[in-house]
Amino acid sequence: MRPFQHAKPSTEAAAFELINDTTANVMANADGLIPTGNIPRGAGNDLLDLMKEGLFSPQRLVDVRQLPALQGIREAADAITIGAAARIVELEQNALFEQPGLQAIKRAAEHIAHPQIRATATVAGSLMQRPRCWYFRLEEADCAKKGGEGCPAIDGENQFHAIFDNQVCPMVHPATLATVFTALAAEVDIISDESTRRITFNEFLVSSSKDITRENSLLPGEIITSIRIPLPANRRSFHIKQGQRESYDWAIVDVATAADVQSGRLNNVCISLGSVAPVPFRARAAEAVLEGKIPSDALFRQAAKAAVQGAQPLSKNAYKVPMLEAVVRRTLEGMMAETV
Amino acid sequence: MTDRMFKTGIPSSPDGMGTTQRKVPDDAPSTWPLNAELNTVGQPIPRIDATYKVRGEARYTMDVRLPNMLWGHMVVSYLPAARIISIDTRAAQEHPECRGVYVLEDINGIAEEREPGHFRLVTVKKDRSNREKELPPVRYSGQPVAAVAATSPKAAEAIARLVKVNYETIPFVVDMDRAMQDDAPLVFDGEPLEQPGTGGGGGAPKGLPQNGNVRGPSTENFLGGPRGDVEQGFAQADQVIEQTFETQVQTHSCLEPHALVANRRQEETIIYSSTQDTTSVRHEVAQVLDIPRSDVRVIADHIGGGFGSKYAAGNYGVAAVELSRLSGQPVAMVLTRKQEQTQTGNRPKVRMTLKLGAKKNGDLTALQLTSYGTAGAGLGAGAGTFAQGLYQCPNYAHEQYDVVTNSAPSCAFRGPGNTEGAFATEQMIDLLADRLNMNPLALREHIDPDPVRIEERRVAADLFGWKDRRTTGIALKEARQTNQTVIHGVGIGQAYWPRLVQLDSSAEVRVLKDGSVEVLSSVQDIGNGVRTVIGQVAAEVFGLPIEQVTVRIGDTNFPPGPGCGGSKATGSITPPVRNAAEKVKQRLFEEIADSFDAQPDQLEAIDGTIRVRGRQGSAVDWKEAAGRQKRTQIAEIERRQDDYGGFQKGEIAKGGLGAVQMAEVSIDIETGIVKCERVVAVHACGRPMNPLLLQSQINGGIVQGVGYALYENRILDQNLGLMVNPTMDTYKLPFAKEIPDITVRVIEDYVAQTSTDAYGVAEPANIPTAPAIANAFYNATGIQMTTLPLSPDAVLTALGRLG
Repeated sequence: MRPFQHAKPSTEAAAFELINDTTANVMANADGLIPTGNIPRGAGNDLLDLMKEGLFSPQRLVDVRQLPALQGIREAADAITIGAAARIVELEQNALFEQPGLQAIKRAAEHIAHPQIRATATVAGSLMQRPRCWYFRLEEADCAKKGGEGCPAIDGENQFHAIFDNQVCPMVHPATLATVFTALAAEVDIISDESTRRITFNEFLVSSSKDITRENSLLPGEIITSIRIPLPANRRSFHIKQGQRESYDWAIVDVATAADVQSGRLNNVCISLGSVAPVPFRARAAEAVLEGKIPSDALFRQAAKAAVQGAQPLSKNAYKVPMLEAVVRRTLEGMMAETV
Repeated sequence: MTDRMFKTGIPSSPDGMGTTQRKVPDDAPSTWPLNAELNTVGQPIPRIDATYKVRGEARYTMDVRLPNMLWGHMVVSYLPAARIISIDTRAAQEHPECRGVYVLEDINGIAEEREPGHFRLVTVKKDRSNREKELPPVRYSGQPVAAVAATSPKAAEAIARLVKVNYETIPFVVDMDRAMQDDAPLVFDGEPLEQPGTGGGGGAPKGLPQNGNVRGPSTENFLGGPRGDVEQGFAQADQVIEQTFETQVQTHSCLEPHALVANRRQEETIIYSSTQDTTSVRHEVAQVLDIPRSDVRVIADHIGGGFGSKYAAGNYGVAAVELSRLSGQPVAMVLTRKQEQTQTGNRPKVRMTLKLGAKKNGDLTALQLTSYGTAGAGLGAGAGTFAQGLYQCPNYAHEQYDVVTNSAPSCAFRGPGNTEGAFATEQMIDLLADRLNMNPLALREHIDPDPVRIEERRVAADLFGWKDRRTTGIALKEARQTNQTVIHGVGIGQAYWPRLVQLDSSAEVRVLKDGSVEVLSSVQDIGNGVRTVIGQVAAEVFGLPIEQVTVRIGDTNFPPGPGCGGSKATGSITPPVRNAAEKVKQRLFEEIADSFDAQPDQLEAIDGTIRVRGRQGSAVDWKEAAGRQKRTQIAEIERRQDDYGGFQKGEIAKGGLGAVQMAEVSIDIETGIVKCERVVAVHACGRPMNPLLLQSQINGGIVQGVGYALYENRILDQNLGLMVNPTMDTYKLPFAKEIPDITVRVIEDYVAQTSTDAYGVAEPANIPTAPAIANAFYNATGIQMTTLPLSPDAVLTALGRLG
């Protein structure tokens, strides 16, 4: 790991005088390990990993966790707002996330990494993690995502890689919160020195097949301030992370669901599939199976089957398909369960 | 020699105890009674260094800081095969914080060509001028090439990056099947290979034939060669079954990385090493520096796990020694986790085909094993002695082959060969039981007459509730009818391991004039608790609480103790400690008997006092009594002697170390996730010295076995030859929620073979776990898992859930 500078500005204005780059941009363009770029940091769990592995060498890390605009978890009539600096442990412990419409967030938070990580990691930092693809993480492996060429995973050890949208770079997004925010139709508030913007979570995520150098649309000089989650009446939600281990492990597949339940019928159904594609995405065909219907075991089975349609496994990850099908059904069942 | 009668046997067993007559040396200490009548030995005493460890005060090698100490860093090749054309160290040398660059002249831990070829650098040590021309070729990804020393760890890492190695890549092969083909790239130019074993196993039999990358077959080992006639045996069988099993590569994943601090000085070279054998590291360092062994002192205060991988000084250690010589300063070399995973050894992958013949009643008639394994660029990837040693099948034969590949060399790993062999053999027994319509426990009762395992099975079955086991395959069948998603199964695994002993084991015991007691030996505590156990032995002899005994170990300034490996430390070092302590006690009694107005043989040391046996009011506090000795201290050194009944062969004591484990698993048949829910482990190791430490060690063996069965797998990319999961994040060890509910019982098994009658338990703790889990899977599903680990991928494939 190369030496780097560190700053902890107390205002957004002071932060924007420094912040001028993103981790993804530096990794794609830097010349070797010559320190480049002033990068926003949350807890720094992932940044430190990347730096120690010799993959990334920033000139300066700028701690943004104390900036006023990033603070707090706030509740409004029709939405809640999660400050970018909120820590994962707050999502686990804040009673707000016990209601059916937000319990997907609590469930996801409870299964992220391990308690030590959850005590420090921030929501924005979690979303900004770089891929966990082991070729991406190995200094010795060349890969287009790191600014090199080709993809060793496609013909290599791809057991934990994508089964959808996997022809260019079969990474899977590492943040289970991204799966949940996709299902909850979250919006991302972003500020820079010059502007503020609010984009849909779908607009925030960028698949490697669209731009291989990054996983989101955050631009150099920008920071995330908050995640806004609309909360319609009668909303229910759920999330299941399926790893090989129950303690500290990455998801093999993870699924988030949300729906408005009225008169026993499912409306505005969202099913988000995570860890199976470069970014989480909505299983539209499965949602269509459920839309306006009264839930039943047979219907959930049918939806789960629809969710895996179009999967194109690589050489070593065909097992993810039946696993995903099972987890989609179980997530729908969990969403409709009376108590969790 | 004197004849003496001993009570022997298993006190808890229905058969009770018997008697055995032994010839013992004339000066052999008295016979200890059963544990129930002892005060310290056999008691569940917490490890005496526990508080230091919990407080962080225990000094591990990576904690050592010396004045002017430099930090080393390894330069590593991640190419799987290459010739080194040149190494440019100028940029590194010019770095202001650089204090030395050392280019490795030889690579330890890999196979060696029998007739040194032109790549082999045995001549370099004599003539270093050739070094530039003849650098050892790269044979595996992760192989160290050079090392640097600098004034800070950060600088060392940066300087290592400045060493420019000019490689010429050559064709490589990492896949075992590919390596066996005639046109495969040759890992060692096809030269006949050898590899000496280490104190912890590993290595390979000498002089075997070799064809390309394939070496073997090996047909004999310390248990002998083939027995009977397998063809005739199969002809007599009512049932013949054949199955192929394959194990994966497991890494040792020691929590403390391999580390060595070298301080080369004129008057004495001091080495701090995270090692399982201070003595062997001393010999190696003396050889590297070409100095007398007496000039080398090796210290290992505390060691964070070894599991077979910490016997030698290692390439990193040699580099630290050489860098200390170059710089004239102490050099600390601590491997990174990635280096740890790719260059310090692993458990080889082995493919085993077993053919088993039996009569309808279960009598085994023939057992045949063929194995092909790869220890990467090393040798010794066999299936061990498990199939041969555990079940006394009259007709037995094996052929074990090594296949060399361009991958990191293996080394000894807890139950070398036998942990692999058990996975195959124990599953074959269950398959046979199923074919014969027998309960797997009943079949084992029929074919395994070992009295220790008979008792272990009885205790285990009772604790586990084996009688509730359901018929093989029922659980899955029912689940498929009812849409149930999680099913359960139970399985059994047995272990056999020889009672290995290191005769070259000695200890010194001292009683000082102030009454303090010291026990000294170079034996090291790798977490097994040997520090506490030998303290207990002295405490027992002197009638003192353990707190009054000081144990100093892990230092070659003390009498040479055994390496800790092969479950041999306890059996090797406790008898000399007792014998030395008894001699010291005898001398003390002789010096102070007059003050008691008694004969020396009338005195006894008990309850913190010395008193005249049977004389009321004669007790004198230990400190006061010890103070009556005439000089500063009374000290004796004793070494390990032959066992009372002799050895079965070499340094292998008679009898074996048996173990029986039973496991319950849950299987999610939709996701393929298998979890080990509980394990009952019943073990025996002669006289159990400390049930608490035994439980701790057995817990560890089971957790390691759960990892082997369900999670761990060194994954190599076939195109790059690169390990893709070299971190604790990607190499999946069992963590807190993966640990089963474990019940441990250690039964007493008195064999009257030494003055302590104690043996170890390390390997049998690990060997039966994976087969018990695999057999539990079979019990639930009726489907046998023939490969490890039982990953969701493998399980869903086996359950027919893919496509």
